[in-house]
Amino acid sequence: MIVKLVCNYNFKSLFTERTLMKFIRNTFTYITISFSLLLIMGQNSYADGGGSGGGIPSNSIERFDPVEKYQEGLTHLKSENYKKAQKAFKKVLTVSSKDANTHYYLGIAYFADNNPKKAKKPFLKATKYDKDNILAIGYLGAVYTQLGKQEEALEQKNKLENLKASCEACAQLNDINKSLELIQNAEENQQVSLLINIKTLEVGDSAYLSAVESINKKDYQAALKSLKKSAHSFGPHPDILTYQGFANRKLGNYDLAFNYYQQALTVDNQHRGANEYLGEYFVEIGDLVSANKQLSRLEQICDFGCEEAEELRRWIASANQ
Amino acid sequence: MSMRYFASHNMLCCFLALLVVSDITKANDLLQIKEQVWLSPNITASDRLLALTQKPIECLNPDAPANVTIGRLAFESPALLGGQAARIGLSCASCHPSSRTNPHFFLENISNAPGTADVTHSFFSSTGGNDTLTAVAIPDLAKLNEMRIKDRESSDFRNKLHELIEVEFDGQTAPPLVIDALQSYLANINTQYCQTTTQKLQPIHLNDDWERLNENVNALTNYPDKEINQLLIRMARKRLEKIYLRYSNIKNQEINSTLITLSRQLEKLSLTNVSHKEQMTLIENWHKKANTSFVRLHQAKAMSMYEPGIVSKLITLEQDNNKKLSHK
Repeated sequence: MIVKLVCNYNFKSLFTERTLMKFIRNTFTYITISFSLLLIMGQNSYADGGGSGGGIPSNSIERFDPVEKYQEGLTHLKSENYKKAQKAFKKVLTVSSKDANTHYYLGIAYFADNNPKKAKKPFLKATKYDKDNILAIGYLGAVYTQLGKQEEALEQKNKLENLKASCEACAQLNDINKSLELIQNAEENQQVSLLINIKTLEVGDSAYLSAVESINKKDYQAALKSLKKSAHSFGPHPDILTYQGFANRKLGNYDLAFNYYQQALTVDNQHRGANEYLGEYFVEIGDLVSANKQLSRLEQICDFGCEEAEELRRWIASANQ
Repeated sequence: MSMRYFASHNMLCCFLALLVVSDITKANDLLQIKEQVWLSPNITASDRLLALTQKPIECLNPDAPANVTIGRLAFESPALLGGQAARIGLSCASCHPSSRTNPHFFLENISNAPGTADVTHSFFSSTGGNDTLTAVAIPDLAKLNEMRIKDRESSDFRNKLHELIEVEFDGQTAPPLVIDALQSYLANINTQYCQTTTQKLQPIHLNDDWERLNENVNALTNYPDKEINQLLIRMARKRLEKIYLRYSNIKNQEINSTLITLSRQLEKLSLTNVSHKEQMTLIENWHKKANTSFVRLHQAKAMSMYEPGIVSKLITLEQDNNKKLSHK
């Protein structure tokens, strides 16, 4: 009907009805597809740039939530989608390169995918960044065994044997025995079972709240223990990293504290707690210039004011007295 | 164009459109009301709607002294408290909306059931907390006869207020005039002024929040003391944040920036050493800006989370999203 009207009105001399219909059909299809693609790109990604005048570099940086990505990795791991799990964990590590839990699970994702060669490095990093991860030692030993590196495998085995010797009925005994079993199964070319014990978000939340209580009671060692447990569920969560920094600072481990604050701010540079506690760190080490910079940063972040800025302001005021 | 054309050539377009729609409606990012933080994860949708859109009617003595205005503002603001409470946006009114009780209040490790809280827990207090969860039903502050301290004008009650603010919620010592006002406010709360002990509800309304905001800013001229001024400014900014969050679902740049501008203007007031005359001018300018902003806010109110219908839709959308996520 519309085609007929248009043809009768203006374009009869230029188009035939058939050609016009084809033109309208194709244009409609192209416009719909293009519009849909543009909307999808706008919704799914923050990346706007590309050199065509679409945006400035800072707007083109792809942003994602590493905590969500970590959860995604765990979900894929549980569903035995190892390639997807590897991809997710590697993504997390682009912003949080020292997260022991992510390295550990990446190692497991490679290991379960029968790729001991690629599993080696993540397990090495997991043991480096978390010396208490006994299962990581076991997996590393199993990986070395599968790769034919007997000396390195023996080194891991000896570590575990030494731990066992000094642990009569300690909490880690179960993990030590499982780890030794991992290496033994690898030695006997038996199937190495996957020990995936992923704690739920509820467990992670509960551990976090316990950590906060411990911090309020000034029991910082207990807080660190709870925070570690919480991190297992959440990965490199800035709230957890910030409190790990805080607890270490209170224990006098300033370098470690600074490191954790930096990690938190790498994940989320607008994190109020991390910015506040970094400011307090600077006050404690006598660097009031940097502390004031942190206060300015918080004032910039907090459009409606915030307790974090007020607390840091009080710290700086006390230091100036 | 024939139906056959649509069937064969538009399948792709429809598929793409579906992808777009499914990504746009992320309700979990839209329900940014602070009160959600202290609701049980197991709360029913209808109770949640109630908790987020209704508040009890206040039982205030109609002949109460003028300073109850400041008392109420302090009672309703996270700026009065400190530590974890202030950081998550908790105020006295979170447990005691309109100085009554909140039957839906729930915080992990603080509550053992909705409507209960343990204020002695070390989650909120860095000085006086304990390990044991001894959550009790949150009392209705208007039921004076059920309170341990019945004389709210007494020094006992005043000391109790100090203890609550400074020890149990890690707050700073509030200026004496503010404590006076708080005490005065609570001393004039009683079910006898409501003619019924039953807690009746009324909608959470933009007009009420806006009225409080104006009271807050006007108080700056009545209380020129610097310390009180600073607290009043922090309280006003927090009120603006509350309003901002109620409009956050609309994602309207104009509304967002107008509320932030009002907050930043107040911030300037707090940081600058100005004379009383200059302060009056700044406040006058603030009111001019605020009046224009209110018109815009009022126009958009029907789409905001002051509108129960909107909150209801977002709750439903969030539930649907959560179901989809759990099936993935």
